[in-house]
Amino acid sequence: MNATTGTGAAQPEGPAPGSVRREGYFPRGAEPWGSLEELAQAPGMAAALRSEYPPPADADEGWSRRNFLRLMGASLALAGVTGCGRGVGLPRGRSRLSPYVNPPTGLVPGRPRYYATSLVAAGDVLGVLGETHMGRPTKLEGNPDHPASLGATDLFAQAAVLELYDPARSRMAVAGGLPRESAAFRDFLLERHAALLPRRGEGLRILTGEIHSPSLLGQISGLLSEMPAARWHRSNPWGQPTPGAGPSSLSDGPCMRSPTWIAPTWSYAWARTRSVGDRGGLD
Amino acid sequence: MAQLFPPAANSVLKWILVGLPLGALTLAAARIIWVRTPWVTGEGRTVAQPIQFSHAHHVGGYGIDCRYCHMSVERSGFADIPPTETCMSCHSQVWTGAAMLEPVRASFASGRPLRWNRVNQVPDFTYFNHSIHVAKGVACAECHGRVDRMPLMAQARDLQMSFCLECHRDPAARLRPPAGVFAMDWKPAAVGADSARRRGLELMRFYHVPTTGLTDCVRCHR
Repeated sequence: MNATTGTGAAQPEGPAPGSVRREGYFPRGAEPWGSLEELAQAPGMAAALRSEYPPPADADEGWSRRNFLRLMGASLALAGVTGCGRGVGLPRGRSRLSPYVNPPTGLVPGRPRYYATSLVAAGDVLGVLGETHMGRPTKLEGNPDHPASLGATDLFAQAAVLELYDPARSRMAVAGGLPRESAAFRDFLLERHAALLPRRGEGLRILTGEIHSPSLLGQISGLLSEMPAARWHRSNPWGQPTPGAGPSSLSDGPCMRSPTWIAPTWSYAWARTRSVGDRGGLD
Repeated sequence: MAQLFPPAANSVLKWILVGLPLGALTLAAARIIWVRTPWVTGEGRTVAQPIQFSHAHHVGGYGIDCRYCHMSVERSGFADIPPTETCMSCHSQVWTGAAMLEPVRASFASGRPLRWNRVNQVPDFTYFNHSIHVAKGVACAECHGRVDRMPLMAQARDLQMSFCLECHRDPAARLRPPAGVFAMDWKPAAVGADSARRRGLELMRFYHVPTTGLTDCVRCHR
């Protein structure tokens, strides 16, 4: 689960390039949008879209359409040439082997390792075993020793490993749409902490996904008792948590101090069918 | 009216009739021969490496066992090449200042892995497992050649399908007893052809090598 921490004061002014897909589009002080059409007409949206998806026409300067097609055709033809190699897409002798510097204890190269871990979904925790190949997770299966799994998984658990390879997955600290060093993030946190403490956290908003980790819940709880005016929002794409679902000890504990639950409301009033190629109002 | 074709047309037609199929056959044959040349298969080719690691020095000179560095060869399909740590287990003590070993020390200090150039490689559509071959008496040298005589690693065999099949069709001729699997200079005791054959069949029974199904497509193309 991704936990995104930020403060109201740190919101960037207007959309930064590349921010539309990841953070959504919320210019400060603007009216919230209710439909994609309204979003498309929002000021700055066209420019943000253009920087996110540069139209091919812009890349056309000095390039004729014919040349472009010619090059694409050549690339396509050359792509077939890799079939003549060793099946690795590299000419012979150009393939590389990079061993570890210090291998993890007990690792047998070429054989998978299994880790016991857990998945959180819909207020429930599922114990799973993750298969990894030299550090790369490839498959999740149920943990036979976990009472909620007994070796079985469901659709969502099977698909969960793909989340790790999601290109939109947050991999680093981001400020204003730009990646930052984790050291810069720590400095930022310390600075904001000092500024927010006298105000008892007034203006601080914490947005997280569903959290079931006792340590993280404890840390957030500690922060909230230090800054009682701060607010904590938890996003739950599955809707409101079902009473009784999940470990009840967490719901009763001090960790659950008045989080605001955010759940999506799906409205199909704006949905319409369209043919592929029709780009709607976003052009 | 003048003749449309000169008298030579008959000969030309005959040459064309003969030449076209011959030309096609020659081209096909040339292609078939070409892919089997060492230029394409890489047989005997020495590959440049970021560090001039000499198997001749380490294996031939000091007699270090293959498994000291290629640790997973008996347990995994992948023999792997040693981590920087393995190099440093000796080279933190010997040749500590050698310029040749600078990349190793840099890798160990920075945590950045070395990048070796691959020498032996079977295509992705071929399944190969080191551990089963080693466990059944196929020696390292059978595919990798006399590594103890290679100052720089070279590809000893063409690694074509025919090379694999040669042994899969008749393993008895190639198997070694366990003591010879990791030895470079192992030679069968000088016996007659008949008893060499008998010894090979004995080894097949000893290792429980199946006598059927070794050449099934699915053995290697899974």
